[in-house]
Amino acid sequence: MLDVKHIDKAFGGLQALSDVSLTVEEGTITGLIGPNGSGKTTLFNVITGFYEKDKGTVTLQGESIGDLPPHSIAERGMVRSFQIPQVPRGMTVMENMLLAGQSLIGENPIAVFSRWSAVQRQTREMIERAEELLESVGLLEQRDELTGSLSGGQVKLLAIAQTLMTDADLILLDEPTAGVDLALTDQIMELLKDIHRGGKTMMLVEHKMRVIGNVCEYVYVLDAGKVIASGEPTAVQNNQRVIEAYLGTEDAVGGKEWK
Amino acid sequence: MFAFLIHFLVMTGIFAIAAMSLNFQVGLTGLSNFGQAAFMMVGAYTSALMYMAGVPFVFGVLAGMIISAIFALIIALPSHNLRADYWAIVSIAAAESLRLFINNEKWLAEGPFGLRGIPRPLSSLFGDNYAVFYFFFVLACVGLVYFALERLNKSPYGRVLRGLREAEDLMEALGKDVFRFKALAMIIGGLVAALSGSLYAHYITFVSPETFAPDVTFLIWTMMIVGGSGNAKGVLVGALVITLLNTSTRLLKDYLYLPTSLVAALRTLSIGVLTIAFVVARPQGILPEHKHVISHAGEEGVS
Repeated sequence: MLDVKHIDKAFGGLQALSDVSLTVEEGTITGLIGPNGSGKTTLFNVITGFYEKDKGTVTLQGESIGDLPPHSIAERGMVRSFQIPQVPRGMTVMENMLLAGQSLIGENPIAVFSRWSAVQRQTREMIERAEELLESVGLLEQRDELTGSLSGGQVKLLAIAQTLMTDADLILLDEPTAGVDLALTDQIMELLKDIHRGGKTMMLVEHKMRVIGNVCEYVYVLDAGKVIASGEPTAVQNNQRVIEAYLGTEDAVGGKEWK
Repeated sequence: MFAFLIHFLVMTGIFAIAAMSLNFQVGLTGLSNFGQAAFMMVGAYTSALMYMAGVPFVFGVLAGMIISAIFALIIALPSHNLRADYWAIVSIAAAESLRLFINNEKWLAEGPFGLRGIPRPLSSLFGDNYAVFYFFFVLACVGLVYFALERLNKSPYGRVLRGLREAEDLMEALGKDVFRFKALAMIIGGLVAALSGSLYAHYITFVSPETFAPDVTFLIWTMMIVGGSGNAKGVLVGALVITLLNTSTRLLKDYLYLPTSLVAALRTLSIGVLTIAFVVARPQGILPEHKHVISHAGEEGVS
């Protein structure tokens, strides 16, 4: 579904990504792990068009998307979330959901006047859908609250619901459980599996091995801008190079983050 | 006193239109347009020159709006990636360039002497009651602009504008062409500001480059800040308050026998002090931006 080949990206003298290639198969949940600063988010930004790459190709369902702006990539069915969720704090949860609707008639200011009833009809459909999705993530009660008043965990859930609202085929989530407690992490894991069962393909950046092992079918490990290993989660977890890169020393294998 | 009241209300209406336009760009979208006076100037000069050349009033006004929209697009094209503060610099530079161009030409609009004796449409019909007629005409324009901009604000289009004010990257990630939305916001604001300028020109009957100096832009900004950035009703209130200060201080000259220079200084001072007071003590303005609560049936309530 998504083919990333030979990506190079440098910031000045710093080579953030070198010759990174990976594939996301349709219908899978693919993980991307690696220590801080290994280039995971940079790779996300390159794939989704937020950064220009120096070299390489990105192909989504056979179509080259490497030179498209982010919004065109989203329109083609690949939508991302942000590591630090961006939420317009002055807007309600429902408004945030409606923002994620696609092909909205009412985004054309002329149609707002010439086809107002069609705009209203479409908005009602979007509200129905948004309410279903909010219910599935447990935010229906917060429907009319400003996002600025939500807790950090609720914002994470909203960001996931928003990506679903776009009806994208491929969803890229940047650390959906970062800064979230254990109980909510479990809830998010279950949510991701539900979404997957619903037919979505996903790719996630994660730090917590527990999440990767539980959710992902295939994992790529990034270190210092290079893919150093890939495979099924159990195989990767026991890969010596990964352990060294990820943890520095073998002693830390028992550390909390790892298990 | 009645004449003054009508004059005050007409000026309030004219500036309210310019302030609602600014609020659409700044309050909702977050595009710091510091060149608002130039858009008014385009409208004022275009409709004045065309009306003086015999073109029907309405066509002159529409032409002014279209040229202003093009001017807005020209500013938006190179600036769409800029942060708010740089956007402010570009817009004020573009506005001043236009003003200085008009100031230094002679062939088109009499340079610094400006356009004198701009005819008032339908003036033979209303005679001495012209200001009253004009008041209702301006009021209708205010109503129309208010309705149109509020509908846009509540539409999916306006929702994206408010979204990109705080989270531009998120809007891109959700498939919104941010440049298109910003450029259209500038164009819509430009159309409305030009209308305000035309209304001014045909009411005051005299415009010059000095009429549209940057302090006019700042005056419109204070209307938005004091009234409530992001709230169209608040901006109307702001226009009323600031226009009151701006026009009534000259009455002081008549009643308190103050010298003209002192009155002009007092006017600027009072508006300045009021604005600072609001920025410090009540930055959300008299009527703050309200929460957009959307019912299950898609109706938007105010809360």
